[in-house]
Amino acid sequence: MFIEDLRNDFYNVLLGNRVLLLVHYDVDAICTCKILQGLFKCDNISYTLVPVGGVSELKTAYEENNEEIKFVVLVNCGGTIDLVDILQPEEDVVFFVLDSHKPTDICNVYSDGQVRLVYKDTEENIPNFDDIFRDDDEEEEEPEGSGLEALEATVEKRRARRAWEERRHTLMFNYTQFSYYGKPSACVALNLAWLISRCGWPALWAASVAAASHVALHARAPAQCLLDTDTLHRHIAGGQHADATKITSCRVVLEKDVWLPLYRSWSVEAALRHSPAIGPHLKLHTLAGAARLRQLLADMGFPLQQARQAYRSMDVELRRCLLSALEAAAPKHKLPAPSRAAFILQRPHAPPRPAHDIVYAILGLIEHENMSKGEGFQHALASLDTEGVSDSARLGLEAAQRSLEAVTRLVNATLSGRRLHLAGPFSYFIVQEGTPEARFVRGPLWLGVAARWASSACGGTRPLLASAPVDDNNCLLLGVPPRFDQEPRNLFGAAFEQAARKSGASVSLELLDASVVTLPTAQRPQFLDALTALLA
Amino acid sequence: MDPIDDIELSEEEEEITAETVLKTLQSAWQNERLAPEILPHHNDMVECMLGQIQHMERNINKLPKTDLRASIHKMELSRIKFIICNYLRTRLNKIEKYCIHIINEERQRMESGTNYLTPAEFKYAQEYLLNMESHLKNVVLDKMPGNMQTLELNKMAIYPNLQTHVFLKANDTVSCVVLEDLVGDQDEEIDLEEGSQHILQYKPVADLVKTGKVQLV
Amino acid sequence: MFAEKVIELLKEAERNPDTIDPFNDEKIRQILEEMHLLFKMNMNDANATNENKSLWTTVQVRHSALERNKRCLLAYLYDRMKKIKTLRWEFGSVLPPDVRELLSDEEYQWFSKYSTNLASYMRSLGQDIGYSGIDLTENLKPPKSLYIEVLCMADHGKLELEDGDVITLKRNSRHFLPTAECQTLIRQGVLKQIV
Repeated sequence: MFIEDLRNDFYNVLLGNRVLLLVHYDVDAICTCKILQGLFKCDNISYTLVPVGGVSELKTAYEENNEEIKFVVLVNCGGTIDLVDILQPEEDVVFFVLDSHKPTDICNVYSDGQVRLVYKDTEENIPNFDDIFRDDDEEEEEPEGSGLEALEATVEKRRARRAWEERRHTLMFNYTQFSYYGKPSACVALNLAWLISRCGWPALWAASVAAASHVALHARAPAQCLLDTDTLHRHIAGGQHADATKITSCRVVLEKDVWLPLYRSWSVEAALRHSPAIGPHLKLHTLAGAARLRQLLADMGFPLQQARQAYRSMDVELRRCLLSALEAAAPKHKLPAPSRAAFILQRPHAPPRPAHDIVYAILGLIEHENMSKGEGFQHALASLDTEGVSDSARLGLEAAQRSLEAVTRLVNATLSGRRLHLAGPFSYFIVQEGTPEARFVRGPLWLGVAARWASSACGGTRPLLASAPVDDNNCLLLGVPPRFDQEPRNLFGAAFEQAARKSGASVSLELLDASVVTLPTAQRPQFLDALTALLA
Repeated sequence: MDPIDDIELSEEEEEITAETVLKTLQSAWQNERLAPEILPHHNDMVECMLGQIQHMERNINKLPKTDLRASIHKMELSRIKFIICNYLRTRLNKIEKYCIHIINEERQRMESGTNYLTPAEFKYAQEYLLNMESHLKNVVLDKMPGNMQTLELNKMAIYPNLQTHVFLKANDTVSCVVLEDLVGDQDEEIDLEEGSQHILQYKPVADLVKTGKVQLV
Repeated sequence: MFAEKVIELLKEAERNPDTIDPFNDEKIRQILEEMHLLFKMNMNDANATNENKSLWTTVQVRHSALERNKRCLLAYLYDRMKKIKTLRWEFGSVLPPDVRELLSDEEYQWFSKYSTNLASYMRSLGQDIGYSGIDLTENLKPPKSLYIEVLCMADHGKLELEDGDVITLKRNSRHFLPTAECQTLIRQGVLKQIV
């Protein structure tokens, strides 16, 4: 069921009780977790926080921690799976699900109070209850009369039932065909914080990072992103008027900024080369690519030596005109618009920090080459702090730089080595095990960045599959839809499921993002064949 | 908001509120931490406060868990408990450090009835000294050659340094505090106004601290 | 030279002001032997001096060496006693086995006696008004807030809270718990406070 009143039906219910928080490994979930933690600390709500990566981790975490817990809050996990079926909870345990993965499982929607969905997305076309579930008692009725009338009645009933079932099948197919993302959970959490009057700058910053992540990872269409962040803009604008004269603490502002990740901690040339938005269009995998980059810098009026220096040591004049120069030079090279309104955290006595930098930093931390996921998660939570000095943000930025470099190298090598294969309606590339870059793309998030990069470098009109080794026997397979920046609805979720059934490969649909699956490397070729046959 | 409960002391006719007890305890704690030697005990205050804490805890448990007053009162209770624990611990540390000296002095004082230590503390001190002696004897002294085997307590004793300087604030007007001059021969006499603050050596004002006329800060 | 070994012993004690070293039984034995030797030599010479006063200074030197040895030995033991006392306040009355190894048997005996003494004192606190004693080893730091956030560093199993809730402590899980419950575990290192 859906919750109507965030404050009374969700938050006030949790007051005074102990809560189990299960959080998925992604940027949006971490930001939501940060906001919820802030709220719980204010009201002394005792909680236990466990990060989960997939369905089996969710199950283990629930089983280990479910003693005496009556309320479980799931952040970005559990919305797309049948919770009651998988977790087998007790009768009086209540689950609050705040998941931006869609489509929401039907059993969760029509649960009778045990599973409560915190936010209702208006764009989901959830089928009506009557269209999906139907009382089966009518079937058992014996025909009352006898003879022709009774026979006709039975036949009629059977025909109606078959028609209903067909309609149900079509509805469910249409509903589950595409997997996509809804409004960022952090924005919902921010709404809650605002309702209980605890909306401060830390919460606003976390919500901005989550919104920036949806833009950076192309989880939502641009128009929808703008709509999602509508309330966020209002809060930030309201806060700005309050203390405009003195900057004694951190503030979030909305400014036009260059959409180059990490340019403030890198050099301009490196940022251009490794930017997932601009890099693909420079076609750096070709011989002409490097020349194009130099030409772009020349058009911007940046000497090559300056552009290669660290941003902080660059000439002040050049730094100031970076935005305008890039905007002017971009159309000439057919690059997408390089600047957009971005959230920036302004800190006293420290350089400003844009939200999309932190998005990549968090990605770098949770899929770090050396650190375990759990440790990366703790660092990621710390990197969202607005006050205090923490090493985590710096660690994350460095890791993000290394990962972006690796992704660029990987995609450039794949494209220039013609390792992007065409198979039927889609293209695919496989990351060989043992290459140094394979370490960086072991997780679904960075592999996704690589896949989208390759897709835009090739024009972006075909669906693309990417596969990378996870460990010795298994590999990760990820699908990117065509024109993902405009239409992010991903059909690979349902396609993978069906192909798995057809090919008999032991595919594990463990991860919560339906467009990513794990399978044994040996069975990959047959799975791909089945997929080709399916989508042809 | 302190709960204003009235407690009647059996000996005196005055009614003392919980607030005064807390204030006395706080100043006793401050004095104890800053003074170099051990001060007279305030065990009755401690026990009174403990009783108060019990009472308050019972009241708090009646309130619903999410009430703001419950958390504020709980904070206050944990602060008071910390003060009590720290006070008792400081005293224990001093007892352990100046063990021999304190026991000697206490024996003299017990005859005149002005104990500085509670009976439990005195027992603790004696046990501690006994343990230490037996340990040292067992480990080394018994193995030493003949006439070295005695543990000369007087030589081993550590005496508190009464010459350390302390900050103090006068609660009442005190006249004629004699400051000894150890180097030269010029003893000074000063008056302390009420509310004035000074830095002095501990020795001249030791009695004033113990009677409460002066507060160490 | 006399009394050199004992200086080494003292230096060893001073080297690690925060932790305690293993009990250096060997050195102590050597020093005691040296003392016996000196004493014997002194006895011989003292008996001989009754006739010849020129040996008086030698006897004096040896005697001061003996005194010095005794004083330094006592100082070493006293220093170790101080460190053992801090162990009691940190770890409680049961020591983890790796710490237990650093103490000699007699020291461990002294530790248990000290522990019992402390425990009986703490029990006697507040007896008149019905408290069963206050644990002075808790509340070591002034309390900042009622609840704190902790990160679990190692699998510890189950922890039962005052109000009956049971929490499973697994590695890398974060919890938000009342301060009083967490203090012992933080001292033991199982939980780490997150600022």
